[in-house]
Amino acid sequence: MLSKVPIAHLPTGLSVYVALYFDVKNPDFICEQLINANSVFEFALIDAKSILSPMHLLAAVFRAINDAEAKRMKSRNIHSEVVFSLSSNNNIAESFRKFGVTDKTKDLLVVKITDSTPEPFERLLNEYVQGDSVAFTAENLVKSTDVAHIRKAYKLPLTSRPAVDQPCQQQELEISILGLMALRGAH
Amino acid sequence: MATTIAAPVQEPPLTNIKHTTTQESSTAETSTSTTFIPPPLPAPFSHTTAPIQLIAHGAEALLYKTIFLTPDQPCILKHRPAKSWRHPKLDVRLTRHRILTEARILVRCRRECVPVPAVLALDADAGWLCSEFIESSHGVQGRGLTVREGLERWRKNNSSLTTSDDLLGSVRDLLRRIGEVVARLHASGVIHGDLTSSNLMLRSMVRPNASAEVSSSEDVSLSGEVVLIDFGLASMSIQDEDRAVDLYVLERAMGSTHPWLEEEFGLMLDGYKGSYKGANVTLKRLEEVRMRGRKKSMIG
Repeated sequence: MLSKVPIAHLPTGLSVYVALYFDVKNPDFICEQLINANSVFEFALIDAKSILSPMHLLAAVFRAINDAEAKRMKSRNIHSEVVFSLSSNNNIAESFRKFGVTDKTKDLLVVKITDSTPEPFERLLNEYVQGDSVAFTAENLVKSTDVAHIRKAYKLPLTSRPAVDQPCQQQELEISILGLMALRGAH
Repeated sequence: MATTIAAPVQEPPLTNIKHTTTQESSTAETSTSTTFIPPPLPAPFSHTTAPIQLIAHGAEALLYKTIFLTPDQPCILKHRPAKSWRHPKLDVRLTRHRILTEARILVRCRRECVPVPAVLALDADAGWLCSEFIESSHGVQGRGLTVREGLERWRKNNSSLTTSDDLLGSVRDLLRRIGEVVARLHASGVIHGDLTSSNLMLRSMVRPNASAEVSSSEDVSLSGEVVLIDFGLASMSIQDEDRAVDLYVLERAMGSTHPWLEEEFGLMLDGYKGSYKGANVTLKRLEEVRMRGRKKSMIG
């Protein structure tokens, strides 16, 4: 189920739709569409375990749209740019390995950025993604999140700092990630 | 590591003299009108439907309060508009460099647990940086007070007290906390470059009714965590000279803004002293800097 996610400061006309699937049965098939660059099946396909929070994902979407508007995308299209925007370095292939869908993906996040109606894309997803569609909420997302995987992907090991409570630590992790994503490509 | 990133770049003289004269005449025109017209917002904020409000403007940048992604996430947008008197290519390069330097230092500070606003997003080419909005339950309009505002408010609330009074306790405690925070900043290899009581904020998320239970009469204008803001002039350095100059600038700025507090400044240094290994060396150096002033070489 694609749901529209309001994001502040978007260019007029563009809308962002997100769908979350648990226990996807056919990740290899979805992966194949991605590798073959199937232009009909054009979505940002993200492994939900690599996403910490809605803000984490939306910050990447925001950056991708902004880079696209400024005509400085580094990857093929705006959807691949979303996956690339999650990364803290300039290696596109690596960003797909770390954050994109793989044949081992269990929970899948789908993002569609479009200026047209979402229904055709919704039909496509219903037809091809075999998994349990759930609402895109922080509560659902956190069920898929693999914090250890995320810490490794961003090279942010758990430090033995004076004991901070867990929600605070999670928030600091999110802030560190947003900072790293914003600084990607800075030289 | 001891190199300064934010080295000022010399601006070459403009070659197009005709361009400068037209520029001067246009600025002369705008200066005659009394209202300030801010430069257009950068993309993607230029066509936003979300609330966006100018809250401050300095020589280099404009500060707006707006939201980041969702309405429940307030943020600060720092816009460095294009400077029409600079060559466009040079202007883009300088702006880009300054945005990135500031962002890198903020991210580094945050990782080292120095209390600074988080970096949320940036666009170095368009010249903007989004950072965390420092909230406080007893600030103004949801914003935390600056130390300057806090001290002025405290002084007004406690005007009957003399400086030698014991009730200076909360002021003394604040000065010590400032010293500690600056020490943590220096320990992580960062020099702020513009330490003033306006660039220090107080963040406190104590619910007003909760604090009322503890003591309703207590003055809260100086409570909260000290947060360092405005890293526009910051640089990376671990040299005691740079650290001492940073402290000297703070001392002088506080001395001219809050002269009634001058006798208490030693407390800032007390807070600084024990907080990291090189602190004592820096304080030794500070005595030297006090004798001669901020500039080491007497040129320029």
